[in-house]
Amino acid sequence: MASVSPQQLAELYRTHGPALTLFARQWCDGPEDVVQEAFLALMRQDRCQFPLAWLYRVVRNRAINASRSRSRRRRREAVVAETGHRWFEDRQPQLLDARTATRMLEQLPVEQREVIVARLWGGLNFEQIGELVGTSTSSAFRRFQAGLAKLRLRLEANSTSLDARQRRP
Amino acid sequence: MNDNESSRSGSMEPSSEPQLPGDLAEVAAVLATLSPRADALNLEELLYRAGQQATVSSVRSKLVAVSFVSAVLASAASALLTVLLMPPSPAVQRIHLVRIPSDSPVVSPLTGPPRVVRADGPLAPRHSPVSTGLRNRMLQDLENGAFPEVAVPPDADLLPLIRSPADPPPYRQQLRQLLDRQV
Repeated sequence: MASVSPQQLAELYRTHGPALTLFARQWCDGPEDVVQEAFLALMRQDRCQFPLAWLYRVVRNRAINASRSRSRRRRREAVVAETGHRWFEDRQPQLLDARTATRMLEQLPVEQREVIVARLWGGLNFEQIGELVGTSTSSAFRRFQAGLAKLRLRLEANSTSLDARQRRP
Repeated sequence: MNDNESSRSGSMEPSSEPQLPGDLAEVAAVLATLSPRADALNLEELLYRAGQQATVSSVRSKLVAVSFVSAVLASAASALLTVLLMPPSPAVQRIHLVRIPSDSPVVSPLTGPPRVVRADGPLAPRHSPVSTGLRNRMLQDLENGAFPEVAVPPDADLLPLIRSPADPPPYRQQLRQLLDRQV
C-alpha cells in the first residue's frame, strides 16, 4: 500500500480504531492518544504493505513506552479509581457483561492478554501475532490457548457463583 | 460468533491456522461478542491533525527546495567572486640557482664566485616602473656577482652539488689521470 490518503485513514480508524485502542489499553492509560499518533505515523509512511499489522506493532511499542512513565502510571491509577475499568461497550443483553470480561482479562498475564486481544478483536492471524509480540507462530497460539483456558475456568466459577446467588431466597 | 465478528477475529484465515478445541472455541466466541469501546475515538481530531501534518510536510518540502536552491546560488556566487577577485599570477614564477664551477671547461672562466640565474616564466612587463626597477636591480646584482654560492641556503638535495673549490670535481681528476697515462 502506498502512502495512506485521509479517506483511507478515516476508514481504517473507523474499522480498527476501537480494537487498537483496546490493545493499547493493555499497557497505558491514554490509549486514544497512542492510537491517534500511530495513525498519523502511518500517514507519514511512504509505503506500508500491511497497514493493520504495522499499526498494531506501532501501537504496542508506543503503549509500552507510555506505560514506562511513572507519572502516567499514577494518573492511570486515578482514572481507574474514578471510572473503573471498562474496556468494552456495555450492551444488553450480552452473554458476558463488559465489566466482568474486563476484570477477567485484566487478571491474565499481559503476554496472554495481548495475544487474545490481537486475535479476537484485532483479527490478526497467529503468524502476524508472532511477529508482533516477538515469538513464533506456535508460541503465539499456545499463549492464546492458555489464556482462553484460564478465562474458561473463571467464567465457570463466575457462573457458579451467580447461580448460587440466584438460588438464595 | 456472528459473521461480522468471525471475519474480524480472523477465523476466515487459511486452514493452516491452528484450531482451538471445542470448549476454548466457545469461550473465544463468547468474548468476541463484546465490542471494544469506541466512545473515546475522535475521528474529526485525527483528520484535523492529519491535515495539519500534510500542510506542515508540504511547507517543509518547499522550504527544503528553497534552501537548496539558495545554497546552490550562494556557492555559485562565491565561486564567481573568487574568480573575479583572484590576484594576477606572478610575473616570475620560480628562480633556479644553479652552480657552475669556475674552472669548468664548458664555460669560459669568470672571476668571482660561480653564479648563474635562470628564470622560468615570463618576466615582468617592461612598462611597470616597479617591475622595471626590480629587473634592473637584479641584472645589476648579477653583473656585480650577487647570488654567490655561499648565499644559497644549504639544502639537503643541493649539498652533493656544492663543492669546495679545494675539492676538484671528478671529471677533472679523470682528465688528469688520462693525461698522466699518456705521458
